[in-house]
Amino acid sequence: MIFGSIFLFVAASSLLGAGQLDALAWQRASIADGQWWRLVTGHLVHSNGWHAATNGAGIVVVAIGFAGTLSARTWLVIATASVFAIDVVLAARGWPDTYVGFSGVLHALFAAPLMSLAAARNTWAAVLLAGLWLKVVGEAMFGGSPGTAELIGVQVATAAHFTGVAVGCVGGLVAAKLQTRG
Amino acid sequence: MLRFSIVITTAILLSGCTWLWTSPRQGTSSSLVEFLYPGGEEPPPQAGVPHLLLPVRAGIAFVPSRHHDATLSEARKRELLERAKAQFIDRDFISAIEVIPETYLRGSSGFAAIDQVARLYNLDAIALVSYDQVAISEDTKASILYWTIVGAYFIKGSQHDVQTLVDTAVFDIKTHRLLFRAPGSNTLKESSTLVNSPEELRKQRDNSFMLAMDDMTGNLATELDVFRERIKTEGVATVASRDGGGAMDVWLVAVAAGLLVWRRRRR
Repeated sequence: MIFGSIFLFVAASSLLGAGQLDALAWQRASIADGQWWRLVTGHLVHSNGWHAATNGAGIVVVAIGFAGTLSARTWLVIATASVFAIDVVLAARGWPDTYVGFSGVLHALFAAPLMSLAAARNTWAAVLLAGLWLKVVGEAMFGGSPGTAELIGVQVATAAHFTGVAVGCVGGLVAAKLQTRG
Repeated sequence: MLRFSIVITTAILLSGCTWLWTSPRQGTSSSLVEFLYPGGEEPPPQAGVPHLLLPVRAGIAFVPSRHHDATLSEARKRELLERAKAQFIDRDFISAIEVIPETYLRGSSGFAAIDQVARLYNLDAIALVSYDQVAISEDTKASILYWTIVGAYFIKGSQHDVQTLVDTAVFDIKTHRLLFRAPGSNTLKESSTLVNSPEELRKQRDNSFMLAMDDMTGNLATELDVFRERIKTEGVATVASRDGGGAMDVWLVAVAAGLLVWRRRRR
């Protein structure tokens, strides 16, 4: 249900007009002016249909592949923690001025179940998680994919991806430890 | 004979009268190099490639002139800058152009003044307009008729030559590097009566400034396009969008989906 709700929000965001998008996007100056809702809604809206489509597809993959790996409460906690962690990182870095897109959180939702499975000695998950880390570290060093930037019409905020994976790993590890104790 | 001599002498004196109403040579100027390097110091070697975040917030200002000149008031300078601003404000890579009063740059000089203004207005780049105008007033042959009181009012025996040069240099605020520049010029030659000489000269100088600014604006638009091309071909600056987004790469989603399908089939 969580994934379904998120997917619906993301899909709906592709129908928003420029004015509505402007009212919901993560905008540094507007947040500083007290428009706090943007700290959350900025992660749910997208720059264009392609942007929403790629992230929507990512949500479907996570939902189908890993929905049962973690409890609903764990998913919710990890998603919420990653939203605010990404907000803090974007605010601290001073760029970008405007941010949209779910993929920072999506990276957390990818990383969490893989970390949880890897902690349970699942080799396949460990390899995939290593690949995910390689991807975000490469992005941090060399910048995001120019092709993706052209597709979505804005520059890829690689710091959001890195933060998402980091939060997801912490969340997945904690979930695995709690499961072991339980 | 004496009466004749007095008349001839008076006529000769009156025929050289334009200079009684206006100075034969007037000028006003401002120097970008003197403003940026007031102590005559050598410019430091330019390090680093400018990194421009689009859309850019730019400022435009006149370089403070050395002397006060009533020809171009602060209000008129602002009007001229607003005219130039109107030609560029619609570009999608420019988010704002702030017209900066010259008085804001008078407090100090050099890049310290520019940095202060940039912080105040939150600018990424600044266009500094320097100028040099020379106005020469001379009598024509017709000025012999100025010896008649009527001639001074109706005979256009005074000629005014006004030459105006303006130059706009655009700097990146962070690196203090010159990005590009463009000149503009204008020459006007007009005649006027003796009595109207000061007013006509003022109008001519103002008009010449406006036309030189228009010429500069056209050249600046051309140089801006050349600069954009040089960014791509020569890497004279790097550009990035001010906006960012979190997006899954298509290949990543495809790989993840493929692995998912493969894993499910294996089960």
